[in-house]
Amino acid sequence: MTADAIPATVRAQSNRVLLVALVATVAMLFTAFAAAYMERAGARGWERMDLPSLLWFNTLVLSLSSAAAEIARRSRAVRWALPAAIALGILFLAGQGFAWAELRAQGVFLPTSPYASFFYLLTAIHGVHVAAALVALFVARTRAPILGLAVGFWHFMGIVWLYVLLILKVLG
Amino acid sequence: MEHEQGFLRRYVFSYDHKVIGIQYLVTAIIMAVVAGALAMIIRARLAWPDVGAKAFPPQAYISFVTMHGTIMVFFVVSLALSGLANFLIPLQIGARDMAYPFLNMLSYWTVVPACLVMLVSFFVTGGAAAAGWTAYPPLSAVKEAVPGSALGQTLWLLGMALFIFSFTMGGLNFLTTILNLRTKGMTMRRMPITVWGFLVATVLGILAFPPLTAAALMLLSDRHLDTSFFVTDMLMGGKYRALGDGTPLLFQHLFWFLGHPEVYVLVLPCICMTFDILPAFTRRPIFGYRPSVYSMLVIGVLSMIVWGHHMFVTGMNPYVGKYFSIATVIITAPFSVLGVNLLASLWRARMRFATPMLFALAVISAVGLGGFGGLFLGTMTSDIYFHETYFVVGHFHLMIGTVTLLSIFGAVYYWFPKMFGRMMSERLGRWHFWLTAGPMITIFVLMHMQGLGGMLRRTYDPSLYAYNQHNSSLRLPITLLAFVLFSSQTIFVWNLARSIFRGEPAAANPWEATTLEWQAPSPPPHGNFGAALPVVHRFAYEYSPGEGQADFVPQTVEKTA
Repeated sequence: MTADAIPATVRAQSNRVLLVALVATVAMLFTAFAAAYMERAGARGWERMDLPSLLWFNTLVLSLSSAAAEIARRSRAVRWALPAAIALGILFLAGQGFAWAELRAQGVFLPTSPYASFFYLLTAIHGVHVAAALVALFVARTRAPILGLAVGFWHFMGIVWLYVLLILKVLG
Repeated sequence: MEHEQGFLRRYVFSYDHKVIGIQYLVTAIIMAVVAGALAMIIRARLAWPDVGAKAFPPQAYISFVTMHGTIMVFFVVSLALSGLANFLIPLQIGARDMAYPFLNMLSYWTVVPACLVMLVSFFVTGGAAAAGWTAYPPLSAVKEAVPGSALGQTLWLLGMALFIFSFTMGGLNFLTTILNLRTKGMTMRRMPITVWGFLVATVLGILAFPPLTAAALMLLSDRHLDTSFFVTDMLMGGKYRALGDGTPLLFQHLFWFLGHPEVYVLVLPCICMTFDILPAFTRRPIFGYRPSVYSMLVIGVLSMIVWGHHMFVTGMNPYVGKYFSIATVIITAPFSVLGVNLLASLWRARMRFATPMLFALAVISAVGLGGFGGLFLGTMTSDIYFHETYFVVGHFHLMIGTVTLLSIFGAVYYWFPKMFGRMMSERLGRWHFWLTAGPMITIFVLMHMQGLGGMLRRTYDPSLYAYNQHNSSLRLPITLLAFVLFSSQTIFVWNLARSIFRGEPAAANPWEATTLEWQAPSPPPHGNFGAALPVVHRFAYEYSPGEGQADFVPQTVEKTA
């Protein structure tokens, strides 16, 4: 007896529960980082710095990718949508890399300041999750049942990115 | 439905929840031998300090304590519970397997490298981690702090990362399976309470582990990438070290945000399994099914907002401490509901004293004793006196050591016939019970006594301090009882090994129980329930329903008008 014996409706339902649980656990991870950030921002030696404006471009790329993924989820007939979402996702990761390079060129490294540490750490952890979500989108190209799961998680990655930006730009 | 499968696919990289469950249990037993042996070394060092001083240096002692705690909490109790959850959830809710069998296989095969990494860490330069199972910085963050802070601590963090990853995958599976794969008629309110226990524990784990992941990542970064999240300028070995302006306390907050719910992740399923074992031997329904379930939900919520009671002695703001005290004492209310319901389940029972029942009764005692000690530690004023003493050691060993292990033993004796289609030996079971529950409860109650006298914990030789010297009379008796406890586990292992091959063949329902797993053959075939899934018509515990009726009514029996 394999998993295929589970009826499609039940399978879709458990995929939705899986998505909610995944979102909850990843959300707790970033909430913990936010709490740590707030705590650190209230302590000695806290100093903010300007972040590369490239991040705004990256934000736009990630939103467009989310939109393309949503089009793919709503209609499988639009065949360009999912590859476009994946390509934009890869562009986002490359953009984050360029933002790191820009800071590096300015002499800002991970241990330079607590703020820089948080910036690198948060973007890195987000990037790892984005990469995992991209793999899920890639797999979903040929496996229709998990498309909803993958796209849902992809939207969540966009929301987490906005949350990270909110932490870094507004809090502390 | 029958597949021809190779040996590897059937027994090693199996997708079958029953095989994976047994794999987890066997792994937990192997790790328990290691962690138990460490405990024996620790006890020997305490009882005979002169001999111990020659055998190994003081640094090794704290490393053994660290690894004993880490392995017992995460690689013995957690793994054994994962094993039982894997085996029981699909069978008890009437499913053919987990919702994501591949993910399930992956989660087991992620925890195996985690175990290996932890074991290997004993043999690297500097030895295994020595910063406690709580891994507080700066001991865990500065590589030169103690020998165990070097490679051993890095491996500890790697092992924990793998464990958390595995636990999360397993938890996602338990959650989706319980919520989506229940058979027809198996409403949430008809579920065996064990499934409720695993459900609450899983949700807690999924929400509470990520902050520890975050803390571990920041700690790794402090150790290897020169950041200063947790480390701060300090004197080390008489020299000033400029390490930055981090906040070591932050780590404690993040750790205990996991650490406290983890207690309930371990204890709730154990209490629920005990609930599940009781009715088969009392021939009565369990007392207060619904209040117990609601209490667990309340405990689940509260357990996430009381972590500060582990940190009363860190000099926190007294108002914060007062909040954590009050919130902690509030947990006593729903927790007492569980304890009292366990006790009340014995009301008017016609008891059958088989081995699982003996263990279940011992669990009730341990819940009472452990819970009582918790009151004094949850209250800030008394905790400040008790915190650095054996009172704490005795308390948490009663809750996450004794309650958990006794109920896991009870569960293994109870569900063994379902796992292997054979009965375990009753005679050996009784010997094992008296030689386990007796010493275990005695040891940890005696530790409370030592703690009341001020006996310092975490110290390789408490007699070094003048004020502890009067308080040495219990050290040797505790050590001797610990030796009895450890060596008597050979009876259990022998009973398991013998019964798997030579035990008396078991019927499908040897304990005359009502829940679904007993309606499947022993052992259940691949797919569990044959051609058609069972349909549930009634509550999980219909025993002695009334005059002139059968002694028990399985959940699959249709209601008659």
